[in-house]
Amino acid sequence: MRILIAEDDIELADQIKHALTSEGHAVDPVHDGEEARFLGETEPYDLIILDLGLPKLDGISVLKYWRNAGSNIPVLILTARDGWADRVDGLDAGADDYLTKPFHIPELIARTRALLRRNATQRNPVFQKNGVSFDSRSGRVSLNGIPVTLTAPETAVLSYLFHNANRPITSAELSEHIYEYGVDRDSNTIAVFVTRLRKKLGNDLIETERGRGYSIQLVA
Amino acid sequence: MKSLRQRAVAGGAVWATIVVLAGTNAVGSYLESLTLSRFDELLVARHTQVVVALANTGGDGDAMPLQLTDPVYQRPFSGNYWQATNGDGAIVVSRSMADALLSVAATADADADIQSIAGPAGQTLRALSQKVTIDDGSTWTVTVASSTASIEADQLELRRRLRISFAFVGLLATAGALLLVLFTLRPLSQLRKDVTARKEQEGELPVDDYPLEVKPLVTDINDLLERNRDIIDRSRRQTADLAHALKTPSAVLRNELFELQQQGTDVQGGINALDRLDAQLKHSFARIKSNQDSASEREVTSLDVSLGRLGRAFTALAKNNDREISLDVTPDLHAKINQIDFEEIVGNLMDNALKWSKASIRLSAVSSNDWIRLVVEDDGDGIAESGGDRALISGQRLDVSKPGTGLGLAIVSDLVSAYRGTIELGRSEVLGGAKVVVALRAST
Repeated sequence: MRILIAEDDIELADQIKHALTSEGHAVDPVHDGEEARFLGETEPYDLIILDLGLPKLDGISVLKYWRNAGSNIPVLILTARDGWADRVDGLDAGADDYLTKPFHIPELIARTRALLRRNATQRNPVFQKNGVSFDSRSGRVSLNGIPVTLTAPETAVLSYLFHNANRPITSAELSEHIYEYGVDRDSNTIAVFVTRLRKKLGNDLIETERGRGYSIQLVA
Repeated sequence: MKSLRQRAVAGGAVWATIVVLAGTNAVGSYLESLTLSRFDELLVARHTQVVVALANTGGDGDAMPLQLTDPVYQRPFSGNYWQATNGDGAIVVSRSMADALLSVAATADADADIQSIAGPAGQTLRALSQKVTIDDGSTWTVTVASSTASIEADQLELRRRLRISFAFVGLLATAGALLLVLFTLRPLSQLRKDVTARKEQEGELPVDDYPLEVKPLVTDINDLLERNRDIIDRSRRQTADLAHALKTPSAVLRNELFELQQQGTDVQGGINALDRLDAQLKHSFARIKSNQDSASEREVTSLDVSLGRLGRAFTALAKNNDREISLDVTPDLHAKINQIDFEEIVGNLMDNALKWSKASIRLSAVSSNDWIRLVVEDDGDGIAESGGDRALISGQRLDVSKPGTGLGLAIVSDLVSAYRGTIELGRSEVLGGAKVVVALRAST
């Protein structure tokens, strides 16, 4: 999944990026409101983590801009203010959840997973199909109960397909959601990752819909 | 004397007294001199009559009284007298003198001389004496005198009436001064009301609505109000910046320690110290915030607006936690409370409900008499009977199984009492879990 982090404290942004990257997500950190507004509007993120106290343009204004532009990407706001009025301002402007600083990274990760699952076909954090089990909370994958080791890009492709099950997804869309901003995206590599996943998890898990892309079919 | 009204009344009274005294004296003296000059004119006329009678009779003591037949000269000690004396010692007097004589100082020349003298029967007389020479060549000192008793009585009465009139004028002047002050101070009373209103709402005082003399003051007050708002805004911004500046590195430090702990390093001491630091920060910021926002019942919050915002916010949060929130709020309710404080109260109560509920949360608000009853209830385990009071104390946590600081209900309790409201903890009859009832004053 592709996540935007808008946090002006570079160290905190790096910590969050590190934690989310190790979860298999593609993470773009930005450090001011204007950059955040631009990337949030132009890149297809699956989640945005937005600090309210951003320089140049404050978080609430950025959020309102996105929502007015029709974006419905889940947004988790970070705030250093204790007052409820600020949190309500953020949530009322269209945020989906909030965290007050200081917070534990595991708490942030848990909130992130919950928000990513919100648009998925199922609310259960463990996806299962044809003996394959994918735990979105830990990123662990097993086949018939036996753990399978996947590379980070393979996990990212599998996670995106599970979270967006029951619809065909093109290689272009997949590459947009598993690569960070500025990385040279070669959609041919997606085919390589899918082939490797099929080799490790069985051919029936990921279906190819000719001319339309890949899909995982789950019973809703 | 700090009251402008008292100053005006005292000033008016002092001024009126001065005016009354000076006026009474000035007018009294003028009228007295006028009366006296009339009196003297009468004396001159009478003197002329006596001189004519003297000339006609040649100073005959029997004939003169026949020429001067005015009854006031006939009745003894009537208060009006005449007397003529010549160098040979002849003295002719009016019958009213009986056998007394007027003792006037001798006049050296022919000029008329007016003087006060003692008369018969203890009377005080005003006498006009003049040396005249009649046709036969004899020189006579002719004196006419009249008692001043009547003129003194007249003057006394005049002064009495003058004092009464001027005292009345003085009273009117004092009352006028008071009325003038009340009228003049009206813009200042309005200014006070306007300034009080501006404490609660943005905007400048309408300078052009005030009299010319008050305008500079109103402009200065506008500057002060603006500066006051700036200071408060700046202080709030600085608090927010400080919170951001302290809490972000605290988050970084916490995460670094967590990473080390994951790698097997013992960092519990560091984590404990950081916990204490964060709790202290939270306490301090809560205290700073309560100092910045002083509770004012003059402010009114529309529950339609505020609960609308909170409802949307918590519906978003409830979706993340698989909870269902039901809102049952009577429309068009208004509470006497600042909106930020109201949202702090409801936000904390709903946050607790979200944390401890299993599936359902209910927020309701109804109006009863002069109060608004706000009820937040959930289907969790509820608050133990024994823990009710402790939950309202800052830092007390009844259940440590979920993250929290133990400040939520204490903040709510402090805020509710700042607005002279009440808070009750209990068990929900509808949902079975905790129920918190907050009563706030309604604004009609």
